[in-house]
Amino acid sequence: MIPTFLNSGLLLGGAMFALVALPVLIHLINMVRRRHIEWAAMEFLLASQKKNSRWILLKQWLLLLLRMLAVAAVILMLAQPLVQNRVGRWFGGLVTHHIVLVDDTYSQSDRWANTSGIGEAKRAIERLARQMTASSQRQTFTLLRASETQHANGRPLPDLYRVPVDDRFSERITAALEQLEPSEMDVAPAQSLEALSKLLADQTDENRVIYLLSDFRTKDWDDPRPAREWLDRFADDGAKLHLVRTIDEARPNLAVSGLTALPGIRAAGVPLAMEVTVTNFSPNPARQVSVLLQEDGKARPALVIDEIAAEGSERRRFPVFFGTAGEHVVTAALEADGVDADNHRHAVIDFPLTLEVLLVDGNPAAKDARFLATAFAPGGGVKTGIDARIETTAYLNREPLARFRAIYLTNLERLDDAAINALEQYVRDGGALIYFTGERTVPSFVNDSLYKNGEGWFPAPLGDAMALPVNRLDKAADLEFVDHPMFRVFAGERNTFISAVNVEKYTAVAPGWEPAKDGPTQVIARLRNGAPLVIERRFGAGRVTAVLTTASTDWNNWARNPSYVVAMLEMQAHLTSEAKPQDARLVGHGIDLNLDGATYGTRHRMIAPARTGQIIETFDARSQGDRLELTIPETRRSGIYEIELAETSGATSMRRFAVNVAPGEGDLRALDRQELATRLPELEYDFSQAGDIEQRTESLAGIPLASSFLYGLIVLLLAEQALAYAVSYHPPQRRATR
Amino acid sequence: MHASSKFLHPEAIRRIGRLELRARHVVEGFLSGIHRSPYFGRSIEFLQHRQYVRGDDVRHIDWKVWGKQDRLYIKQYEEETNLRCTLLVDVSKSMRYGQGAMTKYDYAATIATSLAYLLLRQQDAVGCVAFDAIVRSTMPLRSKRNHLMSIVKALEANDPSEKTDMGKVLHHAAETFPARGMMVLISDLLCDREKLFQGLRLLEQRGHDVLVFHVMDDDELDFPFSGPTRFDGLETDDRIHCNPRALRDGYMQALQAFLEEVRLGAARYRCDYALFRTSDPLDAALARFLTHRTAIHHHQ
Repeated sequence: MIPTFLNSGLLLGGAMFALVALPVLIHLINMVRRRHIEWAAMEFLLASQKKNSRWILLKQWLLLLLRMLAVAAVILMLAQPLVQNRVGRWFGGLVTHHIVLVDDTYSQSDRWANTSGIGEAKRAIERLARQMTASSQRQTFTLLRASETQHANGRPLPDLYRVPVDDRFSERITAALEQLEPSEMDVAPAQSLEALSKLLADQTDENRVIYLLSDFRTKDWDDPRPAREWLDRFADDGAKLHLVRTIDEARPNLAVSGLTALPGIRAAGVPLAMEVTVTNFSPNPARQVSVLLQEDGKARPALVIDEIAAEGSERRRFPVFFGTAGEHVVTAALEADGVDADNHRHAVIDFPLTLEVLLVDGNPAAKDARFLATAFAPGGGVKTGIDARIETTAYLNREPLARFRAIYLTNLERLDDAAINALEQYVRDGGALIYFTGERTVPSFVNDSLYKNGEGWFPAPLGDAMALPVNRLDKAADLEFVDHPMFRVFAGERNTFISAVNVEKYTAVAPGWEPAKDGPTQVIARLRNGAPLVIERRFGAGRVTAVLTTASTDWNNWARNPSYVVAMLEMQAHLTSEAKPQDARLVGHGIDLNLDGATYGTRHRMIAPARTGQIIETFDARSQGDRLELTIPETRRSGIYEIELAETSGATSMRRFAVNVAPGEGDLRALDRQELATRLPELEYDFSQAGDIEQRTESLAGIPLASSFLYGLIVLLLAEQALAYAVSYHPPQRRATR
Repeated sequence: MHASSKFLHPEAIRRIGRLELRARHVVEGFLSGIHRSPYFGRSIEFLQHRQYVRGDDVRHIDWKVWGKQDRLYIKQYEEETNLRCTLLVDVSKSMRYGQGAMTKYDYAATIATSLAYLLLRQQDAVGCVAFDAIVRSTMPLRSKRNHLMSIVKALEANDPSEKTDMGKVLHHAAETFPARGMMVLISDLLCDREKLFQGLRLLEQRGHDVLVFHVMDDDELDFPFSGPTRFDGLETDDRIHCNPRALRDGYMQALQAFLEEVRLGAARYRCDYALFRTSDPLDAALARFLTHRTAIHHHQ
């Protein structure tokens, strides 16, 4: 066993001095100190010496040996030797592995007084490294950033991995620390600890000291159980845990926590309402908060929020308008504060030239479809962006449906199987389907081929067409809407148009049918007699809306009412915005694209934001039948990612994606020592501020032997005293002579 | 300081006087017959009557008083003694040892002078022999009070030196003082024991009453030394480097054997033997010895 020593210099010097020089010195001192006595009773002394000389010599040597051992024990105790572990005790010394896990989530960019969370972490690591270099132990060092634990391949990527602490160590540390900057990731402690566990799984015969350098934000430790589980595992494996806090106190922070387009028709030249959310992570209200807005990089008037309550959020709507078709970027930004990463948020919104909508009418005259088409293009200077196309049912079999943002089926009698399947696939893929009944509607066909006992895409089984008797005494409106985004515009009493709508006839649902609670089907409008009028159902990625009356004026007078246009446009906006959910990509996650194999090639370029400038990378798409899968495995920074898609024709087209930071990470409330202790009871760990980090004696892994030497020393001293007593004279209590 | 005061230790003398050496050592011994000493002269002048106690010689009972009073009284006389006492004082080099208040020589000389003073006060004749390897000086037996000063002088003049040769000295004493008397040998007895015992036997054969005052230093009896020490022999050329603690047990064994040998040897030749430490109070030592001697004679 080769133990290591915390004070090896002391050991070497001290041992030499103790074992060689000290006894000699004592001998020399004794030579000088020797007394001379002129003695009368020499004969007794001579007799004693003759009798005892050998035994005395032996005991004297033994005493000398004990004293030398005692001195050696003192020296060893002060040198503080360590054996590496129980196994090491028998099989030689183990290496001590210092593992530093740095929380580099963006809350660590918190700045104050010329430093920041990550800056403190760097200094702490430098200090640790210096202490390690000064130690004579066999040591290795691993530096892992939390942001590098969440890679798509599941393997953490440490900056330094088991590098020996040798002459080149400080160079390596310096180089690694230059790379250490706050990331824009939000990684929970448990996730990074789990990744660390994976990283360390392959080697176990070492002594581990794990330093977790973090800001210990309250939101990450509100539920400490997942992290605790991993910390417990490390501790059970014999690792020493050091929790090092990098920040001194929680500071206020404002974050743009949301930037979304509100439901509405997105088309070039059509204004779109957007909503920005600003969160105040502070115990005090924030006042006069300016939100800077940009459309495709061009500044537009800033929003000013008068006050945001403490720990509260405020939403503000603003319109955006893009005259050209394409993917446009909207950015909301706040003025600089403690944490930069959450001060801006991006959104990419696709504005097509027009929204193509397919109207299929069962009646060759297409009366119903024409009413709808009129609603979508009301004329005058109003631009809805909707390009409605009226076709017969044959079109459904003939042409691909994917390009239509919505398909309206009005007054259909029957569909053939191919059309049914095409529509089903269309809805499954995220399409929006609206079904109006009418004279031609055959309930049995709908029930057998479309509803199929709930397995088909039609929301409800139908019964016969019913008349809604006019009740002159009842002034209630015929239409009753539940609170649904599609009809929210009609909510409240101030809208009088809707009360003028009369429904004379409708297709009843099968007797006794009611949608299952919390199921995919929902009745969103009823008639005055309680019969369902508008039923919505989610199916696959898309949704189907059944309106159980005509789109034309055959069964009602709605189409003559101005609310009809509003209702249809709202329905369209709702359906299309839901059908294509907004991008809500967070830093760390990847981007997947499904491309048409015939149109696009396999090699594409990505232009990604970087700390400074941009990164351009090339990715190859994988072939999946006639489709191509393009996967950008992960994103590291927030901003706009542009993918330049190479088409087989040689042309390129650009797709844009907004990637934003997770908003919650900006919550800078943090735990102090006591709060952390209450969340981690019974866990053995050391806690320190980054500025005070020190590799203390007990922090080193291994079994310290100093106390063993202390006990050994006590035993030796007792033995020495006993032997010294045995070989020496202690005068008895002198009794009085008389 | 005057020499006499150095050796006489008036305080000791005064306390021995209070213990009434005469009554306890000489008078009672003489009268009771226990101290049946032929050297004591007859009493002529009647001194007083004293009530009889057990152990008194019946010859001294005054029967006339008994006849008148039916009580037993002893007639006591003013004694007229002619005790001859020779002090044999060892002044050899070994007597020079002493770490305490007194060296063995100082102690021995003090005892000798004290005894001389005591004896001269009761008109006994005192002689003195100071010796080491040879007899350094000899003072004849005298009973004059001023003889004390010559004894003191003789002891003072003999600075300790040379090795003790006890056989020669005792032989010389036997020859020099042929008349039977008391011989008081004051020495540390660190000499050839065979010769010592031969000498004691000679004195015993010559009819002397021999007292052996064995004077030892505390250090010699307790051997309290510690730490590395070099012992140089006072009378020999031996030299020992040692840790005294280690040798103490062996030393003490040898010492006890020596003391036992001397005690038994003295007893064998009917010598009174007493061991004195140089730290023992002088008066206490003398008084204890004399009391002890008296007790022995009572039981003889």
